[in-house]
Amino acid sequence: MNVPLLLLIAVPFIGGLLVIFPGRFLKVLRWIFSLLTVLGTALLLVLNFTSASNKGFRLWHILGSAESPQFFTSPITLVIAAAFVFLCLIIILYSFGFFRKSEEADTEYYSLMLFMLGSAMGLLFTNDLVFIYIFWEIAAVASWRLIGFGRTQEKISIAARTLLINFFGSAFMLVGFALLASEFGSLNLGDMVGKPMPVLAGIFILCGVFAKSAVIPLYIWVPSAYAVSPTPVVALLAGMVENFGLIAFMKIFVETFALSGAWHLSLLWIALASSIVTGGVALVVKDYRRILGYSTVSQLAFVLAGFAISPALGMIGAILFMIAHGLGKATLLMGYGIVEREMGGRDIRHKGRLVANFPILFTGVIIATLSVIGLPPLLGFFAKLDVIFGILSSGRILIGAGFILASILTLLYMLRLFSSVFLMGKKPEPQMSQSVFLSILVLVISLSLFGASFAIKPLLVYIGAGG
Amino acid sequence: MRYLFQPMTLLILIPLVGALLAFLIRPARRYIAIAAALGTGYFALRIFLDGLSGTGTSPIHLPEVFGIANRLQADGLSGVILLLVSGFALLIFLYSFRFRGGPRDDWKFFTFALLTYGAANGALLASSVLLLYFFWGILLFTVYGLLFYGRGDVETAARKMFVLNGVADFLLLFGLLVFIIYTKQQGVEPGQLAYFPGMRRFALSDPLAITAFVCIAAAALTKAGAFPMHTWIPKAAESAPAETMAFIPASLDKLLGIYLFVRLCYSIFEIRSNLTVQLIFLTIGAVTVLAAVFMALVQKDAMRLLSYHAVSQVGYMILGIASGTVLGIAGGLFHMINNAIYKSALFLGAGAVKRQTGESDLEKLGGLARAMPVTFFSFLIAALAISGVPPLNGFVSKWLIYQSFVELGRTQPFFLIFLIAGAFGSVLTLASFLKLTHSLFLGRRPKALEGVHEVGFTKWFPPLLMALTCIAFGLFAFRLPLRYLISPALSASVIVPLGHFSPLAFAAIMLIIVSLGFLIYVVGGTYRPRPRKVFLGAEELTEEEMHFSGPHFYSSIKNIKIFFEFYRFAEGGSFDVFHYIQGLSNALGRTLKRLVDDSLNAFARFIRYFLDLVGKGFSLLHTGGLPFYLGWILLGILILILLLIRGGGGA
Repeated sequence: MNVPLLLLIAVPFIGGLLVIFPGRFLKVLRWIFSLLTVLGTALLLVLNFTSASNKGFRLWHILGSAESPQFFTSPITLVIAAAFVFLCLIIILYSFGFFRKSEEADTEYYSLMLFMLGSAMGLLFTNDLVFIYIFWEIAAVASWRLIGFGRTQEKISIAARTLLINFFGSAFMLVGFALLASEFGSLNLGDMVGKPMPVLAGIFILCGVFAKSAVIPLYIWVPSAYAVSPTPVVALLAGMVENFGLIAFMKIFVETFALSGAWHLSLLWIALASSIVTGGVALVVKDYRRILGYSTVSQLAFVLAGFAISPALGMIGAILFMIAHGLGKATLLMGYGIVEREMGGRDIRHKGRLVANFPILFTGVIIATLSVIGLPPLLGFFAKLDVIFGILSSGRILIGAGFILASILTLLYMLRLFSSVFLMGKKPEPQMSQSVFLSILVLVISLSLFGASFAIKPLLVYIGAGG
Repeated sequence: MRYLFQPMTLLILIPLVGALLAFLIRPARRYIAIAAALGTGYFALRIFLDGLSGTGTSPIHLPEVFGIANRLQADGLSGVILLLVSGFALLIFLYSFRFRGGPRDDWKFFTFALLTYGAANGALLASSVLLLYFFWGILLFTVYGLLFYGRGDVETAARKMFVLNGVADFLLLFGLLVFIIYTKQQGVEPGQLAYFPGMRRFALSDPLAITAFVCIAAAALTKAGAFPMHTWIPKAAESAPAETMAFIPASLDKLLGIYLFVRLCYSIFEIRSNLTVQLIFLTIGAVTVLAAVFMALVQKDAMRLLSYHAVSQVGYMILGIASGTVLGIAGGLFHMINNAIYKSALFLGAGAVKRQTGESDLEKLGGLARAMPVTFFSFLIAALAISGVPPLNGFVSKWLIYQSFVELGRTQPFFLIFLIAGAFGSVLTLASFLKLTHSLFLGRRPKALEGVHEVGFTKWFPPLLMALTCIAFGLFAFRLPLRYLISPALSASVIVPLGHFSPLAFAAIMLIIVSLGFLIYVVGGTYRPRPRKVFLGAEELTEEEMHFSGPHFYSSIKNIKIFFEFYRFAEGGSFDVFHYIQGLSNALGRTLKRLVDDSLNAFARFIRYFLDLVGKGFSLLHTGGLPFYLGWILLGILILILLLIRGGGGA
C-alpha cells in the first residue's frame, strides 16, 4: 500500500471533519487548522513527488480484475495536483484576510473548502469509476452549500439550480458508468484501455462532464453561480472544481478509450461553439463576475478541444491550459474581488482609474490578464500555443481559425474589463484601503504564471512531453 | 551560463536588465538608459561588422519546442536592422535626456522603451517563427505600457494600439502555425525563417502557403502601420510625447514590420508566383500612400500631420517589397531606413518646437526659423527628404522603387498604375510639408512666441545628425548605404539601377541652379519688398487680417465634392478598423447572448416551472380527505382487475 498517496487523499477529508472542533473554542483556530491541513497536504504531495515507489493500491475490490490499481500517481496528475494545492493554499490565506467579520466564514465554510480539496486529490489519483463518482458528488454537494453561502432567497435558488444541473449531469454519468460496467465487466478504467468507446455510454458520461466543466449547453449555471457566491469560493470553483469534468474526461476518453474520428470532430465543434458563444457574451455583460464566468466557460472549451484532438497532439497543451487558466482566472477573480470588497458594486462601468489606488493589485491583475489572453512570456501563452498548434496539426485548419477568433474575443473582453476597472475614467478615485495582504497574495499567484513559463521545459520533460 | 555573455544574448539582456534598473533606481534612470543603449549598440555593431566581413557570429541554441529548433542567429538583414534599432534607441534616449528636472514620470518612458528595445532585438535575432512570436508578443505589452507616458487621453490611444496589434498578433500566431505545418509537409526544417545560404523559396500555390503568407504579412504590415490598421498612430500622436512617436511608430515598428515582410517576400516565399496576392498587397501599399497623405494634407496639428506621414511612407515600402524584384526590395528596404531617419528627425524637431512653445497647433505657431535655426535646418532637410526631393535619400529609395515598376511594366503595363500612385503621393507629400514647414518656421511669428529660443544640445543634436545622414545617404547612396547596408542585407552582390543616375552630378547641377537663382534674386534687387497699403471697401486692412496662415493651405481640397465625402467619412471614424472590430464583436456578442444564452436560460427556467407544475399537480392529489384516497384505491383495483381479466382472456 502506498501510504503517502492514501494520506494525501485522506488528510484533507480528516482535516475537514476535525476543523469543527477547534472552531468551537477560538474562531481563529479553525483558520489555522485548515491552513495547517493544506500545508500538510502540500507536504504529502512533495513526498509523493519524491517517493521512489509510486505503485498504486486497491482500497476494496468491487468489480473487475484484481491487477489494476484503484489509486496511483502519474507525473501528469501530480503536476495538476500541485497546481490545485498551491491554489488552495492561496485561497485559504485569502479567505482569512477577505472576510471582515469572522462570522462570515464559519466552520462549515472551511470544512467544505477542505472537502473540495480532498475530492480533487481523490479524483486526480483514482482510476475507478465508483471513486470518480463519489469524489465528484462530494464536490457537487460542497459547492452547492458554498455557492449558497449567505443564504438569501436568491442565493439559495441559484445554488439549487447549480446542484440540479450538476446532478442531472452526474445522474446520466452514473448510467454511463453502469453501461461501461455491464459491457466490460469492470469498474476499473485500467481494464478498458484501448477498447472502442460504446457510443451510448460515452454520450451519457459526456452529460456529466459538460455539466461540471460548463460546456455548452449545460454551462448556464456558471455565470449566475459566480454572481452570488463569495469571492474565494468562486476562485476555487474556477481554478479547481470546474476542472473536475475535464479531468474525468481525460481519464476516461483520452487515457482509456480509443475514440473514432467522429468523436474527435464533434467534440471539437462543440468546444468551438462553447468557446465562441460565451466569449461573445462576455463582451456585452457588465457585471465583472459574469464576464469572468462566461470567460471561464470560453477558456475551458480550449482545454476540452485540447483533450479532444488526440492524446499525442493535444493532451499536454490541454493540461498546461487547465493549469494556466485555473491559476490565471482565480487570480483575476480574487483581484477584482478585492476591488469589489473595497468599493462595492460589480458594474464595470462605474469603476475607473483605480491603478493609483491599488498598485500591487494592478500588477498582479495585469499579469494574469495577459496570461489568460495568451501572451508571451506567460504560461497561458505556451498553453494556448500548444492547443491551437495541436488542432492545426491534426489537419483541422478551420477549427483552428475558430479558436483564433475565440482568442481574439478573449483579448477584447479581458482588455475591456481591465481598462474599465483600472484605467478609464475621468478622475482618480479617492484614496482607500489597499488591502495589501490580499493584493500580495494575488501578485504571488500571478507571478507563478510568470515563473512557470521559465520552467516550462523541465515541466514538459517531467510530464513526458519532451518538448 | 555559457550563453549568458555572448553578444546576441547580451543584445537582449542588457536592455531588459537596464529596464529593471531604471524602474528600481529611478534617480539614475536616464543615465541607465543611455548606458544600456551604448552597451547594446556596441554589440549590435560587432554583430553587424561580423556579418559584413563574412565571418558571422556563432548562433546560440535555445531549447527546442514542438520539435522546432530555436536559435538566436543573425544574418545580413537582421544585422543591419539591429544596428539601426540601436542607433535610434541611442539618439532618442539622448533626446529625452535631461541632467535634472523634467517630468518625474518619465521612468515609464525609459523602462518601457528599454523593454521594447530588448524584445525587438530578440525578435530580430529569432531564427524560428515561434521564437519571433515570443518576442513579438512581448512587444505588444511593452508598447502598451510605453503609450501611457504622455498627457491627455493616453488610455484610449494605448487601448487602440493593443486591440489592433493584438488582433494582428493572433493572426500572426495562426499564420506561423500554418507555416510550421506547411514546412513540415514540404520536408524542410520546420518553422525556420530562412537564412540565405541554401535557402529555398516556396511558391504561393498551396492554400496552406497562401494562408500562412497572408496572415503573417497582415501582421507584419499592421506592425509597420499600414492602412487600414494604422488608426492608433494619429490617436497616439495627440497624447504621446515626440520621443515615443519617434521611437515606436516612426522607427522601431517600421523596422520590425518591414523586416518580417522582407523575410516573407524575399527569403521564404516567392511573392511573384501569385499575381492575385501580389496585386492585393500592392493595392494595400498604394492605398496606404494616398489615403494617409490625403489625411495629412488637412491636419491642423503638427504631431498628427506627421503621424499620417508615418503611415503614408509605409505604402512605398510595401510597394517596393511587394513588387518582388531585387531592385524593388532593395528600394523598399532602403526606403524603410531612410524613413526611419527622417521621420524620427521630423518628430523630434516638431517635439522640440512643442517643448519650447508648448504648442503643436499649427494655427498658433509660425516664424520660428530665426529663433530655432538648427532645428529649422534639420526639419527642412528631413522635410525635403521625405518629399523625395533629389539628391536627398528619400529620392533615391523612391527612385529604386519606381524603377522596379518600370521593369515590371515592360511586360505587364498595369504595374505602372502603382508607379503613378506613388509619384502622385510624393507630390502630395511635398505639398503637405510645404504647409507644415511654413506653418512652423516661416511666416509671421505670433506675439505669444516672442521669447522662444533654441533647444539645448541633447534636443537639437539627434535631429541634426539624422538630417546630415539624410544628405549623406542621398549624395553617396550607392557608395555607402546601398553597398554596406542593403546589399549585405539582401545578399545581393550589387544593386544596379536602370539608366544613369549620379546623385553627386545631380546635386552639382541643383547647386548651380539654386546659386543662379539666388544671384538673380540679389542682383535684380527683388529682395527688398516694397510695402503698399491694401484697401478693402475703403477700409485699410491690418497686417493681422491679411495674414494667411499655413494650416489652411489646402482647406479648399476638403470642399471638392468627392474629397468632401472622403474627409467626412474619415473624420467620422468610418475608416477606423478599431471601431469596426469593436462594433462587430459587440454585435456578435449581443446576437449570441440573445440567440443562445438567453434562450438556454429561458429553457432552464421552463424546466424549473415544469417541475414546479408537476409537483403542484401531485400535491393537488393529496387533499388529505379519506374519501378521495379511497376513490384512488378503488380506481387502482379496478384497473388491476381489468388488466388481469384481459391477461387471463389472452391466455
